[in-house]
Amino acid sequence: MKSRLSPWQRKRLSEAGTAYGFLSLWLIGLFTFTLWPFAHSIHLAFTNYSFDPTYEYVGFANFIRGFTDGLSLTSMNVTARFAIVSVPLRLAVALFVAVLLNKGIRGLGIYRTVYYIPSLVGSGVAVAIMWRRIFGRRGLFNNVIALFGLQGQDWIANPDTARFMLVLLSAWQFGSAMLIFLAALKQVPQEMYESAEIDGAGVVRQFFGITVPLISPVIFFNLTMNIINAFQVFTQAKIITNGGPMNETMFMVLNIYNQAFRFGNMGYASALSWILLLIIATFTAINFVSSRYWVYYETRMK
Amino acid sequence: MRKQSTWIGVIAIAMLVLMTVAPAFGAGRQEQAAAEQITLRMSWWGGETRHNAYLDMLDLFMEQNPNIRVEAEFSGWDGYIDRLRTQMAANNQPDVYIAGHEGPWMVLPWSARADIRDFDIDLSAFSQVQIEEIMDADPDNRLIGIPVSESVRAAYLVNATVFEELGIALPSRDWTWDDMAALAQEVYDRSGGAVHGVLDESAGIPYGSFGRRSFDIAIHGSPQTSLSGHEHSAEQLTRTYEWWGALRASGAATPAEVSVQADDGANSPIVNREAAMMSTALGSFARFQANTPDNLVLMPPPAGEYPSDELSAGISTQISSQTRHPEAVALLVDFLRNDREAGLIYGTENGIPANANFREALIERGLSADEEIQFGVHNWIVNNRESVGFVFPHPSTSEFRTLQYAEEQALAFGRQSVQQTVQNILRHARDLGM
Repeated sequence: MKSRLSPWQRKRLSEAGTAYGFLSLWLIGLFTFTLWPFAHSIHLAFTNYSFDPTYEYVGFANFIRGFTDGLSLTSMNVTARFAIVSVPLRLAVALFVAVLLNKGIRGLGIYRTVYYIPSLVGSGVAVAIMWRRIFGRRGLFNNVIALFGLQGQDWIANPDTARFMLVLLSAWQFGSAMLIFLAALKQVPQEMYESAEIDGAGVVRQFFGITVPLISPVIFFNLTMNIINAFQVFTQAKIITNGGPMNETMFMVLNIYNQAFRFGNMGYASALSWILLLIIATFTAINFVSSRYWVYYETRMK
Repeated sequence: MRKQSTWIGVIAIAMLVLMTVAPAFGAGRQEQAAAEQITLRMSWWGGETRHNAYLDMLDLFMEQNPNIRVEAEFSGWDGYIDRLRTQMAANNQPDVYIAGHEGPWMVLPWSARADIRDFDIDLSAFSQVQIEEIMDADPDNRLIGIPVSESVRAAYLVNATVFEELGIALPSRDWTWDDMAALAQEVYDRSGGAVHGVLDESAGIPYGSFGRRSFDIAIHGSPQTSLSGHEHSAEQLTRTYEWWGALRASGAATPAEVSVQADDGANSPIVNREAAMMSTALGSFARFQANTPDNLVLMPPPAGEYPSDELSAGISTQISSQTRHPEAVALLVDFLRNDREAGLIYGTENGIPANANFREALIERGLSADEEIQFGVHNWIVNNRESVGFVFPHPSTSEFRTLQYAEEQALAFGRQSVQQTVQNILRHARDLGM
């Protein structure tokens, strides 16, 4: 029997089969460990499930509680404050270091690696413990300032400074954003700087008039990714402060974890997860809408 | 070329299928080869000494029962309950595990825990009072665990070296909370403010729960929460916060910054010499002592207007209701909690053993210095203090504590008044239906 498929179609089918063959392992993982829990959490969000096989549907009660419960509101407030400070700070540090490294200094590879290392290890438990040791009451930082006759404090136990210590840790992990900025900076044509210099533009004017607009798509990308990461902060708060003192570092994901696994409110925790997703989606949408006013794409030039 | 890419695709899929199913075929053949071989899983938490003790016990058990293999799943304390709970939700919990029956352990579903009486395990060497306490915890009055230790809920650690350096006599075992406050003040004054007298138990510190509970029962006659709800009135809470607040203000108790970072390891104020006294569990004495060159002594918790000590069933050995090897599990649990040699290996790792024969065996073998101290305090409490009935905490206690700790920390850091703190705490209790 003659095949109804044309040779071109058979080739496409064959290529697709090969591709899916190689992709299948990843696809199994995606469906089993990501999409299924994702879908199941929607179901749980409308129940009072607490690890007990018997549970009831509660409608939107968990979502209403998410916007009225004191601990949940505190966690939203704390997470928003963290994101507002940590994201611009991290991006500013990353861009600053990237600009310095773009000056054609010797040993660029070494510097790039050194600055990237904190990003590789930064979200781990070991670094969180190290941070506690550095900024704790008897930590390295206090020992150093004591050399200058300054009186230290427990920077992590103090409610005035605890969250900022986590912001600092986040800013310290600027390596990933820095590498992306560095790649973008290398794409900026040197002729533009030369022309600007001939026209008498200073370094600052060149930076804001040439560099920032030309790398604005990358700034936009880094901003989006860092906002998402900031709202999902967990490990550092769990290990360093465990949400304290005074719930000053009770971030949303930590609250979700506590609600699910410590307090047994799995249904409520699922609803909080969806609220978190909506918040992140809202900020991302705002970022996308605003991007048309400040992100410069050469291809859109008219 | 087309044929080649088709074959690559076919081979890739075949390899994937083979990789997925090969272990299953392998396992099937192994099980066939040793049809009688049984594998059990057991989990516990703890430090290195406890891990080694259990591993030695399991080695001995597997030597005596060559057809049973026990896979050990052990970790530190952090996340232990969370993991066990998640395993129980998935019906994938270990056959045997160490857990408790009250407080944070109440989040584990009762239905996942088997009734010990359904297994062939000897219970004759255990105190009937403890057995009944564990049965009381279960909604269906089943025995969901065999006690590992006979626990004193709270004991007080005193840094004897600091006391000696400051020329202060150690307290006697019949001391009161007022005696403790006076001693704490003396420590602070004589050290010129370098050492605080006692860890502030009211500053919203998870690690202070031992002393705080003891304080509540001694001063108010009840713990803060029970199954029926929040037990303390606004007046009682106010009295607690004012009592500890006065100690904090005079330097006798640790400042908030020190208190909120207190733990039972490197940040323990008694190890760091930031406080000369702090509460703990009886079984934790050796761990604290191992962390400091100072000489620590253990005291019964101070007495108050009401009887303050409770001898209780501490943690227990529990069995999964999903186990597929009930006979092997019974053998294992009976060995762990009744075999004399196993008892000698485990020693006082969790405090005074619950099995009376183990206690005798340890005394016959000769007690170490640390064990002498634990037995001394334990026996003194048994002989001199009245035991109050156990009160099970409300199921929402964990959530309530998180809210309460934040309020208490705000008070300790001077961010709100006692009155405001009390109002907020009672409101949280009401909101949680306590």
